[in-house]
This record gives sequence, C-alpha cells and structure tokens, in this order.
Amino acid sequence: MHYSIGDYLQDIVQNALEAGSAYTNVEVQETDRFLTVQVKDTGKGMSSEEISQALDPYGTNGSKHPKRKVGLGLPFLLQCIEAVGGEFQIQSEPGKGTSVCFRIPLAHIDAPPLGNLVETFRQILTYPGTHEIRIHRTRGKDSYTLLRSELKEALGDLESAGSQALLKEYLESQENALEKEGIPQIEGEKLWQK
Amino acid sequence: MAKMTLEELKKLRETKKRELEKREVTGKDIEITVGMATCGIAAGAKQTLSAFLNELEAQNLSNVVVRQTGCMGYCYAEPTVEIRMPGMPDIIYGKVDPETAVKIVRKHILGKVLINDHILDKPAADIMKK
Repeated sequence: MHYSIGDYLQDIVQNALEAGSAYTNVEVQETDRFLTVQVKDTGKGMSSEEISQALDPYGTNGSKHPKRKVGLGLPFLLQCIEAVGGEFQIQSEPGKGTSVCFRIPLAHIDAPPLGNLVETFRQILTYPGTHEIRIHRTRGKDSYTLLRSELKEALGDLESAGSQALLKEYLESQENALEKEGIPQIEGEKLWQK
Repeated sequence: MAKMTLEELKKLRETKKRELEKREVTGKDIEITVGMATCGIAAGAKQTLSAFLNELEAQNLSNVVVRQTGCMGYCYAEPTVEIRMPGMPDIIYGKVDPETAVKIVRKHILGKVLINDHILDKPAADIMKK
C-alpha cells in the first residue's frame, strides 16, 4: 500500500496522464469526517473488462511492461479503502475518459495520513506535457483552485528547479490560508453525491 | 501568510529572474528525471523529488530541469533517478532516498564525482565507444 492519501492521488493522476488526458480535474475535499478525492480525466477510457483488469492486482494489459504480471496502482487504493471502511467509485467510457472517486473516513484508526498536499500538488502540476490540470481543494468552507495553464503562464516553465521553488511558495500560501479548525462537514458530502 | 495572487507570483518570478541574470548560470544543461510510477511513489520517490528541489534551491541551482517520468523498469531499485549533464556520463541511480538525492546534487552535479553505491545502469552507449 502507499503511505499517504497524497500518494494515492498522485498515482491516479499519473494514470490519467498516461491515458492521454488533455484535461484532468482533481477535487480534494476535506471535512471534519471525510476526505473525498475525485479525479476526472479525458483520456482514452476503459471498457468494463479493462476496469476489472485495472482493479485486479494480477491484471495488466502488458503494454507498459510486457513481462510484468502485476498492476498495483488502483489495487493499492482498493486495499486501503477496504481497510478503513471507505468508499470507492470508478466510471469509464472508452474514448471519453475515466472518473475515479474515493472517500476516506478520517477518524478510522487505519486512515492514511493526508501527506504533504503542497508537494503532491506541485508534483501533479509539473508532470511534463501540454495537458491541462485543474485542482480544486476545499477545507470546510474555504477553498482554492489551481489551473496548470495559468501557473505555466505566470512561471514561464514548470520544469526548472527555480520555477518549482516559486510554485511551492505559491501553493503554500494557498494552503496556509485555509481555515485550520472547526471544519463543517457539508461540502464533502456534496462531492460524494455528484 | 497572505494568499498569493497569480500577479504576485509573476512579479516574484521577474524579481528572481533578474537576480539569476546577475550571476553565472551553471545548471542550464542539467536534467534530473525521477521515476514516479506506482513503484516509485511506494518507495518514496515523492520525498526524493522534494529533496532534489530543496537541495537545488539551497545550492542556488535554479536552472536545472527537474522532470518526472513513469516507471523506468527497475521497480526493485526504486526510487530511480536519471541524471544527464555535460562532462558526466548519463547515469541511472537506484535506491535514491532523500539523503542520496542531496549527495547526488553535491557530489555528482557540483563535484562531478559518481556515487558508486547507487549506480544502476551502465553509462549510455555514446561514452562506451572507444
């Protein structure tokens, strides 16, 4: 299993980008009870057989690594969701894209830590390519939105260490402006019901 | 800390850019690529990548390109990192934890000395030709 929720999130986004997603929407909503994450992409999508294969740790289409017999990205997440009594949804349509959504009850003793979201967002936003990524982060009533294209325009490039240092500063200022305590639980419920 | 706007970010970039132009840029052709697939993430590649960026910042090497890629095929030796730079062979290092990342910046990039314990792949074919 991965260590933090940020690790799972990054793994799913990487799947989306490897599936050729031109526009990927990431929602991270934190309430007093739940952490809800949704990654919606416009990649190549999957048939129902391919979804079953992606969820099976011993299933792989062999295209990336011809001799490998395992594919562990989503199975890791499923294992974690099962351990904490969370919820998981995957919807996909070939040619249109995939949506992965999961919810973790934060009070569960085995709930993974959130991890460093600033680092996770920075790493998600700096994957090479011309794709667009939108990240919408909510904590209680507060939220902020990040658009990869806007950040690229402001920073010139996203690959140099200098740009990534500035990006970290920007992301930290967004994250630190979120309310710290007394999070109401309404917002997270909304995303799950979508 | 007040919430920074995109305009403020742009201005900050301009200021840093001017500072950078004042001194000689050494890191221009250096590329660091970190494998960031399921195997890499599970082995701590996110922390490794952060360690590279922090150390580059500490050493004032802001023009080094830091990229992420998928699985390089060496899952048993994650996190894996490829370094390309003038004057040194192209190298893939394995088992690069944050401490090793700092060592790579200080010894390989700045000192031009290989980190022997972590070399995973042979130098590229172009430097093997005699």
